Amino acid sequence: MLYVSTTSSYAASATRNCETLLARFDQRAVRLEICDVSEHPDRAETDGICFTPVLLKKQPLPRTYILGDLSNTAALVDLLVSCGVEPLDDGPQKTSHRRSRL
Amino acid sequence: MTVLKKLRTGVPGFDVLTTGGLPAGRSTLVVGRSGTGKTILGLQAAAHLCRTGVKTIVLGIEETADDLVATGDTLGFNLSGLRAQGLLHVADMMRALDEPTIISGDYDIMGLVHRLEHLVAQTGSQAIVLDSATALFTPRPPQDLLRSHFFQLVHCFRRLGLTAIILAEAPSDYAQLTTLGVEDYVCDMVVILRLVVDGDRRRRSIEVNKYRRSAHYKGEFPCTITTRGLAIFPLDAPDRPETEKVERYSSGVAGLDEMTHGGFLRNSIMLVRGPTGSGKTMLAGLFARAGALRGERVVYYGFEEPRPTLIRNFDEIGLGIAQLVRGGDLKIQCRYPEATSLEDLLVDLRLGLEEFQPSLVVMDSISSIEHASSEKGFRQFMIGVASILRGHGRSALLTQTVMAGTASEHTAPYLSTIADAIITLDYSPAAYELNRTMRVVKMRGSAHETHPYKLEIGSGGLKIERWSAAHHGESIRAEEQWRDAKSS
Repeated sequence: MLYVSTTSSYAASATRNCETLLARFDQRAVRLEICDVSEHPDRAETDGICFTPVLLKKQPLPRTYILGDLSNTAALVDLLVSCGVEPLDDGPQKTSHRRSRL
Repeated sequence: MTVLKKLRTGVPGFDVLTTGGLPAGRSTLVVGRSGTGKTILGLQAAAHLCRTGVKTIVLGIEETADDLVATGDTLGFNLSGLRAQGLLHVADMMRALDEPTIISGDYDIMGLVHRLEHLVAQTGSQAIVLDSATALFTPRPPQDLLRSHFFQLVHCFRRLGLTAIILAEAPSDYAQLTTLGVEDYVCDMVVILRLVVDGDRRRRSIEVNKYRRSAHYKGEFPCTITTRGLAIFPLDAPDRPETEKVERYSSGVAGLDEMTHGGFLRNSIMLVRGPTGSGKTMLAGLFARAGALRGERVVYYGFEEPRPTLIRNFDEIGLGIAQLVRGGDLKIQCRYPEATSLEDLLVDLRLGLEEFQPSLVVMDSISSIEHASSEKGFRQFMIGVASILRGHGRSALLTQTVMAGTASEHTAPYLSTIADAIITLDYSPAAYELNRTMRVVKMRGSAHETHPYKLEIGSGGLKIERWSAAHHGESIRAEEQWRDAKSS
């Protein structure tokens, strides 16, 4: 789940950074949802969101927050790799048995 | 110029220090080290705001909502009741500690801003307590980002018309104001809570560091945390309506009434000074007894001996104190000043005045308190006592132990300002017996005898007689001899 606020300039860059990066990974292994906090403050409440943009990895556990507009891609790459999601252009393809939900 | 609207907090003394309370629709920053009472102040004010019809949100980041409500309930703020009535909304902002956060670029605080907009629209709240900014901004963003986040937050409070109390941790009592170092610039009022070491005690204090567009009391004022929350002592007497009628009452000793030309005046503080064994406690007992016999309510604070001993000693000389205590008009409270803090004694005194509604108060002796505290602590205590007594328009008799032969000589300036009347008891050895004397050194608002009277202690208490001139000369000679003997 990527929480953004469309009233903030960081929303566009965060969404772009996130989608660009995910395109380099096995799409089938990842499910991304984008939530505009200005429209769904109750959902931000449920996940304890104060700062945006923030990417919340819900599965697999433990839940992890990546705070910021993802201009530093290393954090998300590390997270995806640690969840077993493989990059598309790196080495032989492996199909992940686990499905990550962002 | 528009008059600044203020909201009262109901925290005893706070609205006096701030000349009316919190700036309405603006942000107030409360800073202090851990354990200084920030959360208590925040919850106490929140409860009062709710009770006065100002719906309030508490954002708990350091503790869960239930823990905060429980804290408030223990202190009698009835947060659970206010919450049930829909006046108080406690938002749980605690995040699970096992969920890691990684930073990947720039971000802002819009998530919280939208949630607040939603919450305010939903609840109709007009005030907010944030506990705390320090916890909210953890992990801590770089300084410029932090400053902008905090500004966005305060701006959001203001846009939503919220009167805000923002709590923030301070790294030390006196150096840097807050750990984050950005909060004070954008808040209209800054309040500092301290818990400082003073001798072998700890002393709590509160200071209003800034208050935009408003007068406020400056400097540190003593405060304490009681079972009912924070209480502050503004150290000056609230204005009381002038009493036009001079009302007198008996001191409890016939001779002293003669010396004072008709007894003590109402709403005044009497200081009785004298060496040990000069009859101070007995005078205090007679004063209390006379009040109770007139049907007045009297509180006697004894700091020198245990309660049963004090009552027994009084009854030995036939004062019948035990009976008056049983009758309910006289309340005797004995405690050791070493075993409690001066602030707690002040709270005790104030609660006692409010609940028992005594017209007379006795403290025997303030010297015991003086010996158990630092000079500054004692001075603040005495000013606090005077402030409470005058604020309630009560009379008090305070005793003070001094060296023999010096009772009339020296009083600390703040003590003589507090005292409306000073009575000295003293003795000097004559040829065979002790020559006991009593003298009225000063008495505001009344003529009085200035020469010493002869004092005898015996069954029934004190007997005071006018001295003949010959007798007087005799006593002066005896006193001189005694002083010569002492100095050689």
